[in-house]
Amino acid sequence: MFEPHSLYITGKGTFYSLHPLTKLSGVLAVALLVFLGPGETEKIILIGLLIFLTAVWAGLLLPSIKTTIKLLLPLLIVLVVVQGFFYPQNTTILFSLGKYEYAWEGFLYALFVTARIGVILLASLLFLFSTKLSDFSRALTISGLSSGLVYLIVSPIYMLPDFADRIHRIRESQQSRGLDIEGNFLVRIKALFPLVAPLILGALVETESRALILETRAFNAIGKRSSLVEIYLSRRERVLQILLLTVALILSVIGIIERALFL
Amino acid sequence: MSTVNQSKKFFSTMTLTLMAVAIVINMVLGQIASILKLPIFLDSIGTVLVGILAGPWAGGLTGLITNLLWGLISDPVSAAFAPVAAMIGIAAGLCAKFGLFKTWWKAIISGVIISVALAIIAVPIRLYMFGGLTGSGSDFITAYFLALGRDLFGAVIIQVITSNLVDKVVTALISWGIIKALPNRFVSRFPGADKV
Amino acid sequence: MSTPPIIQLDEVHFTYSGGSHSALSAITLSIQPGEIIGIIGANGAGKSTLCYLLAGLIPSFFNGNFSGTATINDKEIANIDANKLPYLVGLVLQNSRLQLSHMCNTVYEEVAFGLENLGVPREIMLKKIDQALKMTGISHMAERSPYTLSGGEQQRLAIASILAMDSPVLIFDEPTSLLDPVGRREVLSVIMNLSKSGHTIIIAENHLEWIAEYTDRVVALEAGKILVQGDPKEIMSLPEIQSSGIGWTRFTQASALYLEKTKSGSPNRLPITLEQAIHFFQTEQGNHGN
Repeated sequence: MFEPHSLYITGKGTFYSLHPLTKLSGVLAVALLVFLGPGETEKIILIGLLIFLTAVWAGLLLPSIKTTIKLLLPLLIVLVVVQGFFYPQNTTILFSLGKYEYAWEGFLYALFVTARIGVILLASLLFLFSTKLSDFSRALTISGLSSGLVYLIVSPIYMLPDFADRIHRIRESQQSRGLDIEGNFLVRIKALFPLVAPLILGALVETESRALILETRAFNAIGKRSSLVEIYLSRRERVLQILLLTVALILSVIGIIERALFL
Repeated sequence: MSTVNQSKKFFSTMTLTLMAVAIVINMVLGQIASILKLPIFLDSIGTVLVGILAGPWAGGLTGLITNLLWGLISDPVSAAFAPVAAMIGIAAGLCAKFGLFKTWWKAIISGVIISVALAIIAVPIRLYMFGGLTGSGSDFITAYFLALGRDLFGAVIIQVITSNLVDKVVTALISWGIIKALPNRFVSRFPGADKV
Repeated sequence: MSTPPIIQLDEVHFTYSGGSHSALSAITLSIQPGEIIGIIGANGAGKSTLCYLLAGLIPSFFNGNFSGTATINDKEIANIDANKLPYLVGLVLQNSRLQLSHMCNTVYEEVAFGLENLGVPREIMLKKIDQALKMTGISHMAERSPYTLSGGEQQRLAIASILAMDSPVLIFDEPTSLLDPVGRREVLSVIMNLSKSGHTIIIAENHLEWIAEYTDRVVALEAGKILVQGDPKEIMSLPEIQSSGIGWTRFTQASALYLEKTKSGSPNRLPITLEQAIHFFQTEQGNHGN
């Protein structure tokens, strides 16, 4: 119950041993290119292909495709139905349902939108599946990110199982006392309030102890921090990170200019 | 004589731990709301609380990180809405600055303002990133208004506001109640103490 | 008393901002290096506030109205900067779970957290961590997740985390009140060992028998003021200790009850520790025998 929440899948290989921030740079580059880079469908197919190959290389093809489909299937279904009927540029009617007509253009647009998100999702899943939380937080600290920001990113993940546990226990005791959580909307809201109010109030007041413990552990110390575990960032990877982000930024600017000219 | 150590930091350790716990509260309450199949999200109570107690920037950052982390550990799609969550915190913080969390009925007004403010960010994200729909339950509102002959833009605005209005008003009211229930000595540690 | 005190408080008054009454008033206290001091008092008497003050958190962390002087090693506590304070004084709280930084994956990393913040070089860090783990008896748990430990184990981890920073003064704010008997015994024995190794210990604790037995001096607080201070084996059976809500040790209570039942004349002083109580009852029996 106390395992920190994480999507990490145990594995080995060159992709796994890449610096966490290299992988994160990759995800950011993909997100930038997908939305801002020049080109439309052909761009998505190209990036998608690259990520597909990366997934094969990382040995994460199956889990990442599975999760992507699981997360995007509802979106795909809704888009295919709604855009098929209501996409403004619909002209090639495939069939009609009463007064509503289903068109090819809307169907394609639905596929395009889903593919665009799917590509980014796939990239971020590769990052999440192959990176340990502790390595990620250490990489952030070493990279010089403010210790306060690192705390905000890391500590909630370690606190979450404890809170989830407390909620779980309260729910169980409520159910065992017959304070059922089923029933209509108002009943459920009413059951919810006494359940969570003490938890939230307690959690808020506890923040004072958490803060003073940070103070006594020199969290506010000024100056350079040291690290128990050294995470090695090779020159090659440093260059790769910069390259990924610069290329993505340049292409995004080109893409933005291109679209501005077309309009 | 006493603030030597903290003046160099953007946030005090108190604000920092408050934000971290608020992020967890967002996640846990969001989960409960979805487990109990409530028609509201409840996933921004922590964000609003921080906005009120520690100001718009702290509130915005709390929202932003909540969604980015949720994207990291559970549902990557929520990361796309991180700017919306940030807007909720900023709006709540600004409302509090203007005294709009002093009484319960003012808190309701804050809830309405937050809903409108977040729509400014949420509508473009829904439209351009997701083609107007996100695969969530409230998509049926969008579809319904499209079927009535509205354009996608109008339908999405209606969807975003209607699905958020009740949630944000309830969230603002609960946040107001929580702040009232907190010990005075605790609240007085935060910059927003005199505004509630 | 030739050595200069390690901690000196003179006429300290403190009121929390937002608080209606003063949390500490007219506190004058002098602590020698290597002493083990017990702080007792009813709920709200100011035990925690006194701990925070000695840990250097007042008035820097807890804002409020502060007057008087408080020094560690002759330095005004309020002026010691954040980089130096952990080297002087460490604080352990009641709730073991809240004392985890929530930034670390293992016990070992948790102990390293403070040292990393202070920028201690890695080789020195490793030595300090090993030493701290050994002194608290948790070396064998080094690779475990801190979140899965028992309360007593987490409490020893909290002690290790401040020990690693080498502070000579260790302050404990009710470190065992949330623990089961086993955890309590483990933590208290670690604290005794630290005292033997030369640390100055200040401990707020409601385990009165332990306080009476093991501390050099006890400070009893009532409503933010020092009610009485001195040798625990002498002062803990005073009537005002009972009436202030602190209460007596089981041995004092039993003897008082015994005297009441037998209606025999009261001795000069009621017993406080087990040893004193045995002695007391032996004399009482002797009296009866005659």
